[in-house]
Amino acid sequence: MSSAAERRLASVWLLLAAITVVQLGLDSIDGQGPLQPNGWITSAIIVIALLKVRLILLEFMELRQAPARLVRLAEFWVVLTGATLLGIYFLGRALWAG
Amino acid sequence: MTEEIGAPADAIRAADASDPAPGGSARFVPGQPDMWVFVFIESFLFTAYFAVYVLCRTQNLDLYLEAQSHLDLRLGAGNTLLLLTSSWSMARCVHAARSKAYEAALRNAFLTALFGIAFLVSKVLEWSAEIGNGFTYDTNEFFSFYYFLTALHFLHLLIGFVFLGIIVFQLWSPARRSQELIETGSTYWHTIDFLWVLIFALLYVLR
Repeated sequence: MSSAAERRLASVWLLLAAITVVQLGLDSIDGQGPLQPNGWITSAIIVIALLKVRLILLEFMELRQAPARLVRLAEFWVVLTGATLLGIYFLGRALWAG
Repeated sequence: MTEEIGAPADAIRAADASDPAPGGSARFVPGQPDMWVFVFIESFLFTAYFAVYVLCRTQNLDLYLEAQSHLDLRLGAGNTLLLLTSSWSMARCVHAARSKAYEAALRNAFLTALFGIAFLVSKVLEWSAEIGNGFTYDTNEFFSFYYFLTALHFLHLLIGFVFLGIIVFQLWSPARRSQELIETGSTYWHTIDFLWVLIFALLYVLR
């Protein structure tokens, strides 16, 4: 295994681990006490999680070097998941909040 | 001559020769295309589970947030780090096998198993603690989703150990060592990892 590939995988892992720590920080951004609904934190959490997923797909699963249609299908699933979850969250809150 | 595309796996395999991968190398499908078909079916299925979870959650947000506060966020993040590290060693295993460094590949396969086992143990301990504190599947809707999603993921991880066994079996003897099978098992393992990344975000941190 080349040292360049080794370094690249290590960098990806480091980035994924760092993003996980950022997610922990996001949880305490609105202070202590009972958890409160928060659209900004929810959006950030879902987008960050999908960025991590995309990084795993492209780098660890080597989609970066895969045929374009396979990459497009994976990207489509990532976008669809994000749009579905955020869409339902905000639509649901508009319909049922308060 | 145009390539005829039949089954989904053939469609996945078809690469455009005019579009090389970064670095100029030829594009390739890691592992067997059938595994990728399975990965996408699973991924869309989990998206549906997540969508139902978020829909139910928005209808009773206060209850979900109160129940969520009883989960140990640091433990969830620790679980995530364990699986991310197992994925890292799995990726190193695939790269090492491709370079025919089979001892290093085997070492990384065992490291992957070690981190996977640590995840399983930590999940069982977490469930025990939650049940001990009186939070069971029937406690409320949030905990029903919590146990359903984490148990379904746990089951997928157990199946992952079968693939890990196949990888070790392949690496063990010079008579075998099929790079395609090693990559196929690896693709499944990483799928378990990225599904957990989403489960962690949705159960432990969402607001």
